[in-house]
Amino acid sequence: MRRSRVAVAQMAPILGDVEKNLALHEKAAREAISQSVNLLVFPELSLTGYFLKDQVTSVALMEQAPALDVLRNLSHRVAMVVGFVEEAPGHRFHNAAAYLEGGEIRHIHRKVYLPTYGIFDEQRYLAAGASIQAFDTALGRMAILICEDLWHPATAGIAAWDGAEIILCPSASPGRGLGQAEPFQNASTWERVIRAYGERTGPASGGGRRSSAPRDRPWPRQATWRKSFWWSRWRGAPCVGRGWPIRSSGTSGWN
Amino acid sequence: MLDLRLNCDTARRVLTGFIDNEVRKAGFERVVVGLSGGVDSSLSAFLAAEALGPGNVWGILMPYRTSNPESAAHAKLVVEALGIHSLTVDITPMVDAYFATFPDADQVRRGNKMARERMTILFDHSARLGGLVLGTSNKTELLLGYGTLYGDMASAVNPIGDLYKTQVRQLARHLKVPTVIVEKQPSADLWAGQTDEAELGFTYEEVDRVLYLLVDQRYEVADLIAEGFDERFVRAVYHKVQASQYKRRLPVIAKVSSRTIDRDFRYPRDWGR
Repeated sequence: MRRSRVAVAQMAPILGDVEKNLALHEKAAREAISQSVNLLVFPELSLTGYFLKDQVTSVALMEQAPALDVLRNLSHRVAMVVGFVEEAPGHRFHNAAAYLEGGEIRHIHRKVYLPTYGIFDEQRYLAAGASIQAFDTALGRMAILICEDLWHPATAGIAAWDGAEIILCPSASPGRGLGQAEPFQNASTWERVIRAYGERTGPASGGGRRSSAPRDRPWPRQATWRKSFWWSRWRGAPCVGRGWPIRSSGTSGWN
Repeated sequence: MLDLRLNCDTARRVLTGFIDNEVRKAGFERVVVGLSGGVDSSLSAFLAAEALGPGNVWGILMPYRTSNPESAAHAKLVVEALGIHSLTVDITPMVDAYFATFPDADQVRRGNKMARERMTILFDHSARLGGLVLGTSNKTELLLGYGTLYGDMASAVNPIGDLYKTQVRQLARHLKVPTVIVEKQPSADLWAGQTDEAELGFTYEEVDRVLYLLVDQRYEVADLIAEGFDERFVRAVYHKVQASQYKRRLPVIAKVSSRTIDRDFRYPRDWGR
């Protein structure tokens, strides 16, 4: 991966209002462009808000939707990961994230693992995706995993075997489990999971750049963890989305 | 596993953010809160004043002729400490007028009537002042059903409904709610000498531990007994939670159509906001 500037659009989408959210995206994208950002990552379901329930079918977009033109155009100047409800052929509605670059959608990931525990009820309203694939971008080979996807270690493994150097994980998971310790319990768990993936080839496993680790090691190298990605601004709303990338700390693929 | 301590800095940030977000999203800037002089309504008022500014908070005192004078005095301490608006509406005339027709009514009926009378005043002032009614029920009383349905349980936004009573006290101390309010015996003050703990038959410290393990940690009754908790106490708490479930849900609607409200007509509460 060449050195690049990745930004996270920390935002509270307006629930069920794609038009207003498109305007929020456009504003964030223009700000990113003015700061020479190469890749801007929006939260899970950033174009629609998260707790949609019966609104899912009303806010869904097809891949070719003209509503996305404004983002396609902006992607000439900044690559973006945008969350939306995708209506796929056969009227299957997916929790999806699109990678936009160079004026087009380069890849769409459909969330594979739809949580139905605790506050979540995704599989009632949405169809599960069936694949995890890495894809090439101007910034390197990437994969997108949406929130719950990343909690299943096989997904990161599949992405890595498919050559992903970078895993992007948009999420709309609200902080919960407040006790004495900072931060929220689920945020600490996220941190442990991401560190574990990173350390799979980090110093602990001898997989650093100068190590003698095997060349076919199937994990992206040391992930860089930045707490500020999700803790920068808590807004208190259940629909607050937060996304953060795990990025390779190196300047090229693993060795 | 049994740790009810709260990170008060984070809780404060989250709950003031919640009030700010929910009130504005609904198209309002103000809140109306019934001030009883107790720690729950005092904490709600402190959080709202911090979230929205004291000029956007109306504290309404609604005494009855038998109310403990200390209650109003403590409510006024809150009003003065925060610099919020306040007004007093005596509910004696309307409550007594009603019970003139039903002089044999017991304490529970009278208490419920007072709570619902107060609710109508809060919602009337919600319309009068253009402010949402701020909830003051904590997690302990919501779980035990220790509140009047459509009375003190009624609100538009409740910042403290996921905090156990003992956590409410922790956060109240952190926000510097007057000590006399935090440390006094909790009371619904519906009749002279009433205290929550005498009426419930246990202390909040005791019941919060059981509720936390039952609800948050998903213990079964048998697990709690195995851990050494008193069986009769645990079963009594469990029964209260179970018996009051109806109070925490909308009224049940007989299903006859293909799409029934709250069953298969499901939209978020902030639909279109």
